[in-house]
Amino acid sequence: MEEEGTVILTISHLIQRACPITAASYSVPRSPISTSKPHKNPGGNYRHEESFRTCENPTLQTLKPLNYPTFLVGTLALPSFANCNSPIKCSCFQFSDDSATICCDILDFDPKMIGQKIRILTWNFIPLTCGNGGEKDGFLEIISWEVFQACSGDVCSFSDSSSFCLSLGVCDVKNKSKTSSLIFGIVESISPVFVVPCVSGESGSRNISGFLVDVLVCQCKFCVSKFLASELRDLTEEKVKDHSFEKRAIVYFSGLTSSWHPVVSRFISNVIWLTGLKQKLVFITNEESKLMYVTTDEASLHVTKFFKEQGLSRNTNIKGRGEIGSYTGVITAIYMQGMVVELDQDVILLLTDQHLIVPHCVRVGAIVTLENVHFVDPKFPWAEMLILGACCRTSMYVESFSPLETRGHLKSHSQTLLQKFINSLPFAARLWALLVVSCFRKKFAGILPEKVILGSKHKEGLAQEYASSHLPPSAFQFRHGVLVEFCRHDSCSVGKEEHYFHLRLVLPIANLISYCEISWKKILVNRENFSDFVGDINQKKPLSCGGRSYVQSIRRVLRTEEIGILVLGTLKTSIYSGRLQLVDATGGVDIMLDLPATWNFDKIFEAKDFTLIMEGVPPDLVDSDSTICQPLSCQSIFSTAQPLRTMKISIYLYHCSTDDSRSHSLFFDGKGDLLELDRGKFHLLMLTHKYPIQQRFQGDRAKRSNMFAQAIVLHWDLLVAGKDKDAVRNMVSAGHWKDLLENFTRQENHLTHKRCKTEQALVEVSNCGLNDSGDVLNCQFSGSCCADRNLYTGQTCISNQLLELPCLVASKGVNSHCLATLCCTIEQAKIVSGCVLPRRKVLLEFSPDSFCMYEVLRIGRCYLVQHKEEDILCYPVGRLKVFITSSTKLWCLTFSSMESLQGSDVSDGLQYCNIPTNSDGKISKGYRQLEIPCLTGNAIDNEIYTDVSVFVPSSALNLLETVIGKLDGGSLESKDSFEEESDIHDLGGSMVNASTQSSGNPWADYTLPEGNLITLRGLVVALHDCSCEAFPAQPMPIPGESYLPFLRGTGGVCVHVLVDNKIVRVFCDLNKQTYPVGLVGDVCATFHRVLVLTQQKKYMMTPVSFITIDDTSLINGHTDEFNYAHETVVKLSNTSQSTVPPVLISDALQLSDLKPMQFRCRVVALYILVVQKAKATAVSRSCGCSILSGVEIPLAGFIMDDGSSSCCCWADSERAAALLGLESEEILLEESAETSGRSKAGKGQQYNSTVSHLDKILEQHGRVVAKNYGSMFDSSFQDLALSVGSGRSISSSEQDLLRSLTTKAFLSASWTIVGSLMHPEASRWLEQQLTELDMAVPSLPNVWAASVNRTDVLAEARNTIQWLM
Amino acid sequence: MQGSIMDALYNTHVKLLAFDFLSLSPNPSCPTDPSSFCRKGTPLSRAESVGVIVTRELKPGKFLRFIIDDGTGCIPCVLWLNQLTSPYFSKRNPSGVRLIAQLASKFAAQIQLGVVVRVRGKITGYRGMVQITVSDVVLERDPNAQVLHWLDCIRLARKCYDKYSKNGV
Repeated sequence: MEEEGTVILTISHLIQRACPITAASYSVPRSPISTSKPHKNPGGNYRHEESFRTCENPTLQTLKPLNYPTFLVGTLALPSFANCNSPIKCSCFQFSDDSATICCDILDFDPKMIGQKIRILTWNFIPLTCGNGGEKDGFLEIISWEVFQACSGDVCSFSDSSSFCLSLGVCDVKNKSKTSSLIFGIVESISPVFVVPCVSGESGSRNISGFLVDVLVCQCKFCVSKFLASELRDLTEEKVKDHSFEKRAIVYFSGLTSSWHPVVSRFISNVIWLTGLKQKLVFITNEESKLMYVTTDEASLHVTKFFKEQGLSRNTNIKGRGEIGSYTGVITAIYMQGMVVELDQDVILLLTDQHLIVPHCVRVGAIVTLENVHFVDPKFPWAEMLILGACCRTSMYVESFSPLETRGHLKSHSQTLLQKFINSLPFAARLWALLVVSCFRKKFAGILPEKVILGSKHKEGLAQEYASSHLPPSAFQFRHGVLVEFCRHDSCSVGKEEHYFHLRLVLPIANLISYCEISWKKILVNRENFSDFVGDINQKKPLSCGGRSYVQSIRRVLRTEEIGILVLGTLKTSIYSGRLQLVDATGGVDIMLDLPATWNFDKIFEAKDFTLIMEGVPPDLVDSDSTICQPLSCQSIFSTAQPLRTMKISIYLYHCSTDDSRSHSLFFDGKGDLLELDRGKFHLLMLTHKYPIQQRFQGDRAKRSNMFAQAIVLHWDLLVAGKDKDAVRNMVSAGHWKDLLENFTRQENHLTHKRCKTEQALVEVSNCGLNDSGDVLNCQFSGSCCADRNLYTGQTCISNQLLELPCLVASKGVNSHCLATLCCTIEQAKIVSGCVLPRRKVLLEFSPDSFCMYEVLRIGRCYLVQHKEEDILCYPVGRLKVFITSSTKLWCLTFSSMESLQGSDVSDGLQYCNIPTNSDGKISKGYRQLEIPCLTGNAIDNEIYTDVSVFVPSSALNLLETVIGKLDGGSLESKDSFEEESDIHDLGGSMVNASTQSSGNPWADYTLPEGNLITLRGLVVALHDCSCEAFPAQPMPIPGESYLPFLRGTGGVCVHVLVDNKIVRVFCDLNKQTYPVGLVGDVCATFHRVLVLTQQKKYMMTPVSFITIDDTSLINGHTDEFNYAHETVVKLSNTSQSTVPPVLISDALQLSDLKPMQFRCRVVALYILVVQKAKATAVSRSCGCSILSGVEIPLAGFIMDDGSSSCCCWADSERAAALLGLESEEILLEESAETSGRSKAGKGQQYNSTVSHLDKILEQHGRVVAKNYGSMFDSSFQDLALSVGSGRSISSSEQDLLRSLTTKAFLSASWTIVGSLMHPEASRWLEQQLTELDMAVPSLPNVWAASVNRTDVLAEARNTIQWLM
Repeated sequence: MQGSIMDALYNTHVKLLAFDFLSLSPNPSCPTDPSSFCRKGTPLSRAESVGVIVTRELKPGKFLRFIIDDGTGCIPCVLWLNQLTSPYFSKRNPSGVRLIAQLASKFAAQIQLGVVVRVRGKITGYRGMVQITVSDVVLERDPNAQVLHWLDCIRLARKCYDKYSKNGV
């Protein structure tokens, strides 16, 4: 074997070189050597070949071979634990030559090599750095070896050529040994080497290292007899089989024998016998002792080769509940400093245990076998996996060294608080906690110091704090030392594993996005496979708008609850898009969320129950190779690689409001932030408008202009007195305040009688919510709160003639109520007389650092702002501007009735809640919550994030409602004039300048469009990208006249909104980044201050327009696709038809009148079809002919059949296109008059392909006529004669296309057609048309179709069954 | 008027439930016409049915026989697939025949066991049994379609077919 020129290397040379290499005593081929040896996997899980293929990592290199033959010569020795100061902290074999000693591992281990001088023929060297000083060290992986120089060691009387003996000195086994000194059995498990502090009389205290071995022994008569030793001398394989190894015995190898650990661990499942033992009672704790065999100085270990693999039957009945078994697999990754090892890509081995000794050769690429490892199936909803939990009984050895240049991991021996915490958990929870730690490190890298995230030896880190808050107390177990745990192994985390499936995976945001992208692809791929049967769900029909068709995006929705994930992060407003985002160090994702006004944006937000919405245009071809990557695998969390966003789909989170407060928990919020109102005076503001964020893309991105919002200052101030528990109790209990009210209203009645009729009307309005007395409330309290009022007399800005309402104030998160007074700043008489109160508008200006506050404010809500000295809010001057900084506090406010508090003990900690409850938990009677003036229309928000609740007498609620309503002036419905906007121009000059500068004022040639600004609220049906050409402000856009200047050059978005059962279109000139997240089909949205465009049901967003999304509408449709809008549209279309009576065709024949009727029928055949090229300039609204992508259908007759009879249905261009399957449903709902402009083929869709082919044919021939000379009652017997206007012949492919076009008509399902029998004039026109084409008028009833819709099957079935009953 | 309605009905695809359909008898007035059948004296030639495909027997290039179960009975159907080879079609426009053949094979692919289909076609007789010789097939994806078909059948029978049959008899 040895070749000439073979170099003998020294270990010190290798250590100094510090290069990972592989070498052999013969010339190594260039290709990497194979190091694997055939072996079997007891668990049946041996999958390394497959795993290797899939885990190929291009960055991993194979070990570089030395290019010359070489070998090492040295002695193999056992480790030494006798000296506990030894730097060796592992139980590896030691290989030493003259130069140095290093750890090593041997592939084909033979115990006889111990103590021998051996020559190593093939080996790998892996450099290590250890110790704090980073001393160089290394590790030798011995693949093949031979004895270099046999040295005659101690002779054992038992040893022969086939057996092995290991002893401390001379092995002298007497034939008649005491049975207590000899043990014969199978090694079941072995503990790591551990150290026990011992106190001995003479030498003082010292530490004794040792390890425990569990041996199964036999109880037969030979084994218990004193002749066992002589019996063992003649042991044969046959004889071993006669024994039954069942009884468990623990052998404690202590002192010098502790260095036998690497040898004994090689013999797990093998038959051994040990002599020179002593039975001793060992105290494992202060109270508990256990009888063990302890090694003496005479101890010897005997192994007979015969009995190798005489193992125990393992891996039976493994269900993944912590059972013990063995496993062999390839290491595919190592994470968290070696605490987590990934085997075969989906098995996770946890090596967190402090005492575990992990061989250095545990490197990526190695094949390892684990003995006595716990099998745990965590049943996490987010990923399928198997956890292998290593405990003190687990041993691990390498079956094949890694051929890859990967490094081993040295475990740190100091344990942090976090590690202790992790080790105290059961395996499933342990893995989850490790994932949390890994995720937190990624999430907050650079945001928080590592020490804060991970904690230190004495302080809990953020990750630990979070993890422990999600685990039940029962999850934590006190950990003992190895001695106790080995002896009491039954308590080792078994049986508790199944309780942790609720633990959700905390995802970094980058991973969340990657998960969405992969799910999106998967959905598309899966759907594509199904599309043959259920139709192509991935593709919505193209949306038709303005004579063009647009590809519609599709939406897919996932519930994070179902996926089992959650996301943490901080909330921020993106400086690019101005949208609210959940952000961590890995990225950000848009989020739709309703926050309280007092939200602290520095807090970490935990989004628990939210909906993940993905929206985009499905690609024509779906790239299906995405299945390899598992976005929710442990790998994706542990690995440092950060997934990148690759797809252009919109992904955002929608937070579902639920009762569970944890679902939107502010993690780590503590109780620091009290939202309580201080004593003092507060002004009430009602937000009426928010001006959108002005982008400065051309300039410095980081620099942003200020933000603006508009509010009305209400004529009420809140004077908060303070917490006087007795006063509060008095006020609420027994209607004390009612008496005061009655006193007051009695006086008021006197006044009221004098008022005029109009005032009476108001009185009645106010009356409707009053208590029994029915008295009008115009409270002017002087009694109840006078003590408190005196406090404020100095600050009050208005005269003494004030309206005052006593009230109680409850703040969120504060358990007690405060007394307060609502004080009207206008004279009482003005309110009661119902005169129009002056609006005090105020412009709120937000500095860039208070953008977050701007973000949380909602139009239509009331807010409190604390009064400051010389506050301009006190002076009723025309226009006010208030500068809001980050230090300004705003509280969102709602009014509730005080009666709701009755019956509950207010002062003793009535909890703040939106719906006050009685002590028995039922909702209090008489509780009403004043809907804050409904700027948002019918405010649907069922969970208003109110910061402050003001309880006023229920009768006063009415007054407030009236007064505030009046102040609001119904600005929602009414059209605000441009005057409204001049505010912003005057006051916020910077905004105007900003937009003008950024675009270089390109609109100088155009006059601005004029019109009213209104607020629209409706259901978004669809939206599509659009260019200015397709959305003219005027019927015929002419430059120089009024036009949409904002649209020049850039595309926009056209939003179809269902408002009052009519579809209107709103054009947003903004690019997609500036309209709010979540503005998609099927949501309710409010478009504030949009410009009305010349009565065409068209509106336009202006730079002051603002869109708000009514979140709640999304909750209903969370399954797969929101169909709400579609359903509404269908319902709408049906309601419009419902006015027309449905009839059978046979009945219609008997009717002579020409009233519109409704038929439900199917197309049987085509009678005639004329298709021609649309005129380029035609805007043919008046004749009811729409232009469909350059195709016009001037004449079309279809034979229809409803089961009772047949008729011929004549339709205009648009209806005919629908019957031919050319049109999308959407266009049917729109008025034909809305189509305009030139038509072009849209983007690639099947629909378009037919149309574009047709376009081409018409381009060539101008006009095509198809006449049916065959059967009118059987589609398969119709005989179409095709003729063209050009006079040229039609090619066969053109013929095929035209014929197939007609077949679509009779292959569609049922149509609901509203039409009437043709009146004589129309009949004459028809006859004339047909005569020109050499056709006769069919001898069937001729019906002119006024509308064509697909049948709503369910509604029809309902109607029919009603008719039948 | 009555007569014209009767004539119209003859060319209409009548919606009949299977039990009703199976009770159709050959039209005694025109015994030579293989697709003329009578329901209570009313001559009919075409029918429409909706149901689940329960059997399917394909002779490639020739025909597909299948049975539709509409919940009240089973209607045997045949879909011809021999348009390109049959002399019957040789006189017709080749482009038209090609299209019909293409459609027929598309229908045949759609007709799979368990799917709900709506078929229309001629009423014909085969070995003493009444069947539908299918002209067109539409897959029904809406589960309510079957219910609506039942209701339509009942309504039409009451309001239309029975009404004229009495007078016709």
